[in-house]
Amino acid sequence: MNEEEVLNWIKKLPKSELDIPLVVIDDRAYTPNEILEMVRRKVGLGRRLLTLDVSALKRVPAEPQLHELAKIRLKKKLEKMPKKFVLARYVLGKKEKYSADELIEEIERESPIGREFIDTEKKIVRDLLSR
Amino acid sequence: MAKILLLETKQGLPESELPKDLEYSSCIAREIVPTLRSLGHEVIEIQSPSVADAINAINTHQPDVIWHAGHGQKCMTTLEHEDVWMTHKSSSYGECNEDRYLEYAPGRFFSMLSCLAGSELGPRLVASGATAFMGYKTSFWFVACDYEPCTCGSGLDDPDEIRAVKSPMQCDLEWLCALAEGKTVREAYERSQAKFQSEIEYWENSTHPIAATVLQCLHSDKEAQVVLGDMDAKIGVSAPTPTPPLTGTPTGTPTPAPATPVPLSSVVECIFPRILAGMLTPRLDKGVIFYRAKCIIDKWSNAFGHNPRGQGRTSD
Repeated sequence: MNEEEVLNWIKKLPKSELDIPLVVIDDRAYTPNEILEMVRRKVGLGRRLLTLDVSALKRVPAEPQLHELAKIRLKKKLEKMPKKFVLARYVLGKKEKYSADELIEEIERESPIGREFIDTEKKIVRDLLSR
Repeated sequence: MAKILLLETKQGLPESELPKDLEYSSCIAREIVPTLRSLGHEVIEIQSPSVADAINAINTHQPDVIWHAGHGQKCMTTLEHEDVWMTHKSSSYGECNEDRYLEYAPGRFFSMLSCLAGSELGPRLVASGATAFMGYKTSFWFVACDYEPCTCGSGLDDPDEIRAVKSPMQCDLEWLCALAEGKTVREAYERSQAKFQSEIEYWENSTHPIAATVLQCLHSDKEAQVVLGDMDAKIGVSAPTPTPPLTGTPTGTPTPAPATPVPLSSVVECIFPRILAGMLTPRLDKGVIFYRAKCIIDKWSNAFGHNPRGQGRTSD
């Protein structure tokens, strides 16, 4: 892949995704902007990326890696959530309101709520990588 | 024309950790009332309804469609202050030990903004005779404010923050708006899903710090939405005008498809039936006075999906 191909790939992604890890290479998750920067610099992993086809960026990671990627992404997203906001739901007999920190904790210990978020995030990743 | 009952709840538990939690939805429902009325429907609004209030309103007005927001479980939904409304006997939740108020299901359309109720209660309502049900099989997530009630974005200055608070609820209510415009249950579901998608696309292209969180809600709610029952059923419609946008907030909502225009050939067919169809005297043949005028009016009504009887729901 070359810089132009990476740029074309990035153009298909939502702006809100460019600084959130999406691509897993060698067990490490990279954001689209990090991938572009590495290819531009042509050093380290960037040099290796130049030898690969751009389709390598669209590869959905294996399940354990996808699971971890979803958790990393969720934490990153929730950390950005302004403190005055919470997430809420209309459920009976269970906790209704979650701050970002509380949700990060649920995701970390993979509670039923945490798993619900992780599963949704996996679908989002698959959708993004198919673009 | 149909009768639409909006059960505008304000708060789940009196000591709720999120004050006016249900008002986040009810305030959006109130915003669409003028649109529903402009389409010729009778809208009955009940504020902070207890179960007794809801049953009284149903018995008095005999609504075709019922919308409400309330805390839910798989087998149960509630109204103001978690007053237990409809339940069906199930082992999935401790309090679901009997069928309650399912006799109000037959012939009605239900829009239930209630977590999980789409997984068990919805199917049970349809099995009990409801024409259609729209709800959510898992949690319905939305963005709220921690510091004070910000229902409908009140207390917020940033247009994107206001939109963040309203967005999931507007997607939910799109089903009711589409039904009110004369769409089928299936078409209304597609409209609601399309609204979710257009909101997702809006937030995907936003760099606002709340964007990722709203996206999480929208993706999850879109996936959780279920519609059951007679997918071709419609509620009665008396006016062909397309629905204006839900609110003043720019949403990027796809505008409803315009009503099909009456083809000129149909009008010609009414005026010159003998030439086109080889009929002799349709006025005498069909016993219709002012045959041509009636023919044009009928074709006009059919083209706009108008129910000439002007009442009740249709199922076609």
